Amino acid sequence: MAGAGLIAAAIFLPIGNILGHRLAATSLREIPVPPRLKIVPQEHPDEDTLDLGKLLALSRNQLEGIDIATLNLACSKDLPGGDVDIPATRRLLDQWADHVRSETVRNHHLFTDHPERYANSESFFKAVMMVVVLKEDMGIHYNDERMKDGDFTHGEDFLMYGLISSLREGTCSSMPVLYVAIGRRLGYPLYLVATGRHVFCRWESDDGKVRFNLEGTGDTVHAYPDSFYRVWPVKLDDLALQSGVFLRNMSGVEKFASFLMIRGDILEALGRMPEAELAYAEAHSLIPDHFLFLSDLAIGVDKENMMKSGVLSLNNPKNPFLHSVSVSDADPPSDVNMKAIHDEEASK
Amino acid sequence: MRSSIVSFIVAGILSFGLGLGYGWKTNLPPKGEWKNEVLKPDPTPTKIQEAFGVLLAKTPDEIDKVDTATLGWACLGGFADAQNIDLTQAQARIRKLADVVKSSTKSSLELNRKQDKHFQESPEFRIAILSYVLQQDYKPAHFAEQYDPDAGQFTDWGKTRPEDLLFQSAYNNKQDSVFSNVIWLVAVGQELKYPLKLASVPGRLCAVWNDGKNRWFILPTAEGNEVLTEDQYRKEFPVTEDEIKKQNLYHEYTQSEVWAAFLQMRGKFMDQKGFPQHAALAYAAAHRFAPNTPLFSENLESAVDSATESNSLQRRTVEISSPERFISRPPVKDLTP
Repeated sequence: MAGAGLIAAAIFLPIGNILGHRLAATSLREIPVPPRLKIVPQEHPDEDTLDLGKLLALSRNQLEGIDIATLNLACSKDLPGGDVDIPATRRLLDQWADHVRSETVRNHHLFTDHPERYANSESFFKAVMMVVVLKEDMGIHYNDERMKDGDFTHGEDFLMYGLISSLREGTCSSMPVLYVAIGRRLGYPLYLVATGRHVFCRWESDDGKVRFNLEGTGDTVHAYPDSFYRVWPVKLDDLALQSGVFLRNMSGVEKFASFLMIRGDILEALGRMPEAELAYAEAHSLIPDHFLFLSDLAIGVDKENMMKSGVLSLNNPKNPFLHSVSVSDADPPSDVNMKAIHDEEASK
Repeated sequence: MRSSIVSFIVAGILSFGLGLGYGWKTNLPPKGEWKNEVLKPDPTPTKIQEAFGVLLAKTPDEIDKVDTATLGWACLGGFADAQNIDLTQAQARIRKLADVVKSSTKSSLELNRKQDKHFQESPEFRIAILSYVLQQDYKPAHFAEQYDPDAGQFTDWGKTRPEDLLFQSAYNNKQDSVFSNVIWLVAVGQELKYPLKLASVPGRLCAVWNDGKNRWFILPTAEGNEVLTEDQYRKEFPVTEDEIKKQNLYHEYTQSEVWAAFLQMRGKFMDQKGFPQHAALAYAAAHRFAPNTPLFSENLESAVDSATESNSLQRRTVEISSPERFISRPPVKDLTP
């Protein structure tokens, strides 16, 4: 029996080897080896432990799920008045969101009685209610001084910590962030969107059927179309539009990088140039192709060199900015044809 | 000349091996003799990647409280091999090595009882034992294959590895280069409260022993430790005063400057490996933590130049930015309650 087995092995092994070689040769020649997919599981971090340093250590994917309030508040570290208790602030925002929710329910009849006042959109009604409640009940308002001077030394007006402080002041740089933070707590599909020298919110449902922009920084709430933001507050040229930076919903990493850039702007205005350059470089390292982050870094480096050489001194007659005139942005139009906007958005 | 100076440490160790004498008990280190602040590791981050981000967000004052080894390891943040390094375990190895040095020093003293008392309590003895233990544990320092010690630079950057430049061996048993051996020397020395700090000499990092009476520069080499005074160094590696100022040479680093020096090496590595955005970040961070070292700001400027060129961005900063950005403003009001 054992002898038969040996004979069979002696016969078939060479055949098997030959076949094996042929098969192997075939597979090597004709079947490409698929690339190995390496999946590294990434845990969602405990958000109450996050600060600027820990956010900087997160991957791009991990940044996607982080509360926009955490991303923004972390960027005010070491700024004057900016070292806030992030977990406590997030709890405060939870309370504000609860209040907005109850007020929206209580006033829902405003929509059912006159839906035409809200462009026949319940989503728009919810967004308007959120902005109105935050302004009227929480005292959130635009600091008009910044509209005049654009002074970034007042970091509290450009990052969110001014809105949750006793000042309750902000600008278009911080108020839309608060709206998204509250809106997300309420389950609203709100996104942050940037245009030239301005930031606003966009409501966009997952199925894409409901989509409008939310301008809630002024005295009234508006829903301007995208075309409006192509020319206001500054006209976007073709190059800017093609860059892919503007007029689209920001991802988590874009939001964080943008807040880092604002942090850099504040530090730069405060004269803390190396810190400003680091903030710009952090933003640039997150999104290398974003031209604003890189150009801000480049300008920061140049400015520090000019400061060191004394060119920027107000006593230096060679200062190229000595007699510069401030550039002020035009106010947005006070009235907008809501029906036309709604039709335009609906047609998309 | 170099070889004779280089090997005096080894000669010191050998002389102990031959020595005879009577023992006296020694507590290490001598109380109050050397002043060196005990640097406690930052307890917060446990992973390298997290440590890198956390340290970037700290102020220079906060960095001054972080130990040298942690700063060295943190520079590996983002490297594939380094993702799962546990800093707590890595720091424990530093403490264990310090214990070995301590016990080795004590046993050497007892073994060589007739040795001159003055020498036994001397810094030379401490440095010798420290170097000997480190070399036994981690094998002699070596130069990376691509490094030309005479030229003081890498001949082929494309083949360099993280362990050739950065502080890596603590977790993966890779053999470090002389660049990181000097970090071992200082990290373990500081754990022993020895007056050791890092400094830059022409072309590289070195350790400085400064106990108030003696100030020596200790440079691990492939053959052993080279120990020179500043005058000897200046003679052997002549550089101009401008270069000394630009590179902040012969200056004992604060921990913030140590962090900046490590970041500078990380930037160089990232730059050469084709990650300009990470190079710019490392150089910007080096500049932020050592703003008075011109070399770091020049590297940042160079990295930004390269990035703007490769992105077809023109450096017309005056034209493309608003004038308000360049005009000084009065100090901001303090919102702190």
